[in-house]
Amino acid sequence: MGLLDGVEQLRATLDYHLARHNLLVANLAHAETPGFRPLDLERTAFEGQLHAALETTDPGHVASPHASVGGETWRVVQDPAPGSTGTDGNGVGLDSQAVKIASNQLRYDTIASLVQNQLADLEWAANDGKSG
Amino acid sequence: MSKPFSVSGVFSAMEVSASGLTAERGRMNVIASNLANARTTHGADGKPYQRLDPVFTATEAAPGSFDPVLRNIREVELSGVRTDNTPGELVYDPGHPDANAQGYVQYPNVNVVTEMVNLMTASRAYEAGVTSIESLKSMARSALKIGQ
Amino acid sequence: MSVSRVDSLTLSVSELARPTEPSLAGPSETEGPSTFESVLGQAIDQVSSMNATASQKIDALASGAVDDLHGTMISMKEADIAVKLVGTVRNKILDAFQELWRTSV
Repeated sequence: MGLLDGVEQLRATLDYHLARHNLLVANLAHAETPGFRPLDLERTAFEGQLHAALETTDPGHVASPHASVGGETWRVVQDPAPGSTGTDGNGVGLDSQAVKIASNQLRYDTIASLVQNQLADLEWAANDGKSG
Repeated sequence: MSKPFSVSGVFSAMEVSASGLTAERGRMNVIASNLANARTTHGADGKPYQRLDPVFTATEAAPGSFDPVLRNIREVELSGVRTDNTPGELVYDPGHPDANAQGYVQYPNVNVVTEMVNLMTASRAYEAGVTSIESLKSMARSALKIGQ
Repeated sequence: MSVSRVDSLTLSVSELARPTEPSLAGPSETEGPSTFESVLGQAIDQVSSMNATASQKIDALASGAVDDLHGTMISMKEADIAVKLVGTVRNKILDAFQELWRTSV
């Protein structure tokens, strides 16, 4: 139970998408940096602390700063070789990154809109059916 | 990151994007110099123009940041230019003021077609960077709407 | 965490409907029988701490220390909702009291 549980879960999701956006946007900025491989952010929900202890052996694993909500782990991963690397070792595909950026933005916007709706509903209820 | 960001948020992402725009713009300047000097057989040093290549480097991530994501984020920087020392083509033209003893003129190693392709790539990368910033503005607007 | 605070807020509110049960399910219960004062007092404490959290976040955002836009907005709104909830509950209780006064004797 908990009126705000749903909102808190969505807050963690917003954190994830924003962090991911940072990585994706950096990929685009490094479209010409020699030897650069694009990064991405994965997240996995898990149950139980034992799993968390096992996960941290891999240096690529990072704990979500909000691991307390729903027990998510975030992981910075390198994009598996996206087909072509240039002669300088750069692996950034401009179009594929641009698509990821657009879709990630859409998800963030949608979830923010959901949060706004839920909070507005709660506010309406707290105001005893009046608005404002 | 030059600014003391502690978490990866909207502003840190904008800084990174902006660094990309600056770098691409710098690249376009280098290409413009190459194109402008494509036929310069006699520069200030008396030698034919040698084309330049931009050098991109990743700058330090946010030092000592607790945010594991932020530690993986680097800005890009056009740290300098590299001279391309491959020789250009020799053209037989004994009447040219820069012709050597054998009557050949050394032209710059600039291939106009290659430079134009590079220019288009840089331009596309720049546009993509602008779109990134627009996406961040949209996300910021959505976040602010929550407080409405 | 603001989740448990509004949670306990609503629990405190529902406790008022069962005045015979002395125990409170709040996070800081120490006293025995619950009085109207203690229930409302606890609720107001929770609201003021939520407000403190929201103020902290707003300050951090304004000073440029963090750029957590959605987090700040969410905390703000949650504090807002808690305040309004307490206000509405207080009004209801006062209305109930006034009705009681009218019907007595």
